[in-house]
Amino acid sequence: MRTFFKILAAMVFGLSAVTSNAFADDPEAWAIMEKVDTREDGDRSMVDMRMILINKQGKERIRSIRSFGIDRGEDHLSLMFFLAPADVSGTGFLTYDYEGGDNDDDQWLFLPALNKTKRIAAGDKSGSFMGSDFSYADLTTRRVEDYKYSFNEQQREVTVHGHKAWVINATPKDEKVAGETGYKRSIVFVRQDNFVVIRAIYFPTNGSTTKYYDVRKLEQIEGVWTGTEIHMTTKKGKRTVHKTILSFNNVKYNQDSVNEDLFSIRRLEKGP
Amino acid sequence: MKTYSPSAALKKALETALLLGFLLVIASPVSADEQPIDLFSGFDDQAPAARQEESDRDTPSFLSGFAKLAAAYNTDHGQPLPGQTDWRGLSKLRGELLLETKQKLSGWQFFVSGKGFYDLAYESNGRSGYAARVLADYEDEVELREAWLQGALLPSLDLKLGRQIVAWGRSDNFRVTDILNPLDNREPGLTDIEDLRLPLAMTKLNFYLGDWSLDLIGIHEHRYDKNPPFGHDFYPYPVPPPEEIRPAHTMENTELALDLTGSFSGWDLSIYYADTFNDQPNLVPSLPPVSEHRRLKIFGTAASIARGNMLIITEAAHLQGLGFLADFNSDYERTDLLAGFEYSGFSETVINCDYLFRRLHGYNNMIKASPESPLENDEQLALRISRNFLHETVSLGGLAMVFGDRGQRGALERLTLTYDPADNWSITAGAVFYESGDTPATAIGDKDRVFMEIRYDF
Repeated sequence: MRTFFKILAAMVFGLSAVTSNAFADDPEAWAIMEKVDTREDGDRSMVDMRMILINKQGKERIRSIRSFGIDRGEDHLSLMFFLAPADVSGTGFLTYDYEGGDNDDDQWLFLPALNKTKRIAAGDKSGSFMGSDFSYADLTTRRVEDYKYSFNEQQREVTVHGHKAWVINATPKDEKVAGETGYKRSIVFVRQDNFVVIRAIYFPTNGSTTKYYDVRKLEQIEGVWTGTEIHMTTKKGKRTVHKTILSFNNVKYNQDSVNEDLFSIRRLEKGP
Repeated sequence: MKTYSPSAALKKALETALLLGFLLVIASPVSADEQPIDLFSGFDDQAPAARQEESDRDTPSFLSGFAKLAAAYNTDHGQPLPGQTDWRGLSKLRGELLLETKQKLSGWQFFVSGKGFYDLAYESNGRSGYAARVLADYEDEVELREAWLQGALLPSLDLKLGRQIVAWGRSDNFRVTDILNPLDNREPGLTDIEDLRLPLAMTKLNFYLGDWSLDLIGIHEHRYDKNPPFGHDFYPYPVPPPEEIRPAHTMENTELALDLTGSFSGWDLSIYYADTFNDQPNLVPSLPPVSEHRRLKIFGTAASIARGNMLIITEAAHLQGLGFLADFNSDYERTDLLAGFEYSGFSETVINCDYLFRRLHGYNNMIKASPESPLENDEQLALRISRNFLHETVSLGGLAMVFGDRGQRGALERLTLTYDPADNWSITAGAVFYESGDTPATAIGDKDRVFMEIRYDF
């Protein structure tokens, strides 16, 4: 099962347009990533998200989102309503994230100012989500089998915030996956006691930046390990170019009101 | 004043599109080799945690909306003839306020919005230089926009009752099937897209069954396009329009519309039918001359298909009941076909292009000479490019529209640059260039404007 939180954690499966022999598949690393993928991550969720966007001068902008998620078989459905800033308040975003087959995800955007729902071509997920350091790819599920995994050649394991973690390289198996997500490879840090990805380093396919994903707060909510504060920092060399702090409040799982009827254009157009 | 030249209009539109493309290309990020660094040291362990005390900012306020200051300056006018309005220079210095509220109770929601503006440009330039109707339409305005109640009557049946906007079709550039709400045409090319449609009082029933939805709509309000009045810069004729006769608000004049839409994985389809009054009034052969809105039947369809980074859209409509002064007693039919695409494969960039073809059936020499100047075949093309920069704090947009296969019905180009200096604040600057066509109605070549807006949303 996958929810929005796992989707965020799953962004670690960054990729490479140039598949490197240095990152050949390692059965042990693969087994770890399979456990990451199959880890219980909750279902029928609702959450209030807040994104703080910080530019290199330290100036902040804030986006607030109410998000719902549900699993439908292997697929994941999500519905987001933007609450702030005021100029996008009421805008809705509905995603059907398909796990199997060659189907592109389905995405619809509702613009309240125009009272119009518009289908979005979801092929390219590398663009910034609401101006943040997170991309659309970071907000949709990645298939574990789309990548090759190996232990990092510099450090096989490290200690992060007092917890031991494996360090695993992830590269895409083909250029299509790399192109869609915008990452040519990534290095992920998997906590050994709960198989949560707590850190990652992403290498975008274009540009000279590196993105650092860091789970700063991890809580067990209704038995589900949930990252409730995640930092994504874009750096050029050692210099921070931009940063986004994503925090989660009012996290709830197994909500009766979160059923498949919620994930419809009808509901999208009615707003939060 | 510019004179009509099809090749010049087309050339200008293409030049604008090329300029925009060039600007977008040179602004693209430049790849550089990765520098060798200690990757693992890139995490910032000292970074402060997110502040929770600001969570009250998520709570929706009772009232929302925006305040805006908008200015426009005419750059291309010649000196006016004696007795005519001097449209050179400042043409708009408008303060605008929109207020709206949305309230929910027991599964039902109520929404109301209203907007008003006052334009200081007329006082600044001297009110005596403008026609009374121009001042009435452009100097100030207060109006109720949307006011509706929405809720579920049954698990699969919704009702939306009140003044509202119903947007049909798929194109953002041309109206083929998007025919229900009239438009604010008072400032062509300058009006924000969210202000363009004028709400109408309707009763809308929505049935839902699986992937399909069926909308049954009764339109009770007869409200038509807001067009520039005689004496305004954008009014193209030397004489005032004839008196407009509008349908009475009676039961039998209620307009009907139907929308059957299916949404599936990767594609969707809509089928439309409407029995309405034409938003554009027809001239009536009478003394004194008058115009009236004829009953119009529209059969339409629209679809969109998403493949990878490409969204392909198509629309088609067949209209029955068009009229022309020279053959007033006959009804004419027209078929409109639109095909377009939206490509989002370049980083932070969306490229959109729509092509529209219209064919007037039963075209003859009689209506060819009619004052409406109808064409048997008409073509229009729109190219729109937009790109975000600096984490969506800056956006650059360009639009080029060509009317007629060689621009013989004119052309329009618009460039905009928007900067968001802080949450809720935006500053937009831009320019609109108009190219005249070969008819009096399209003689707009001297209306070029530069404009600027400062907006605060709350």
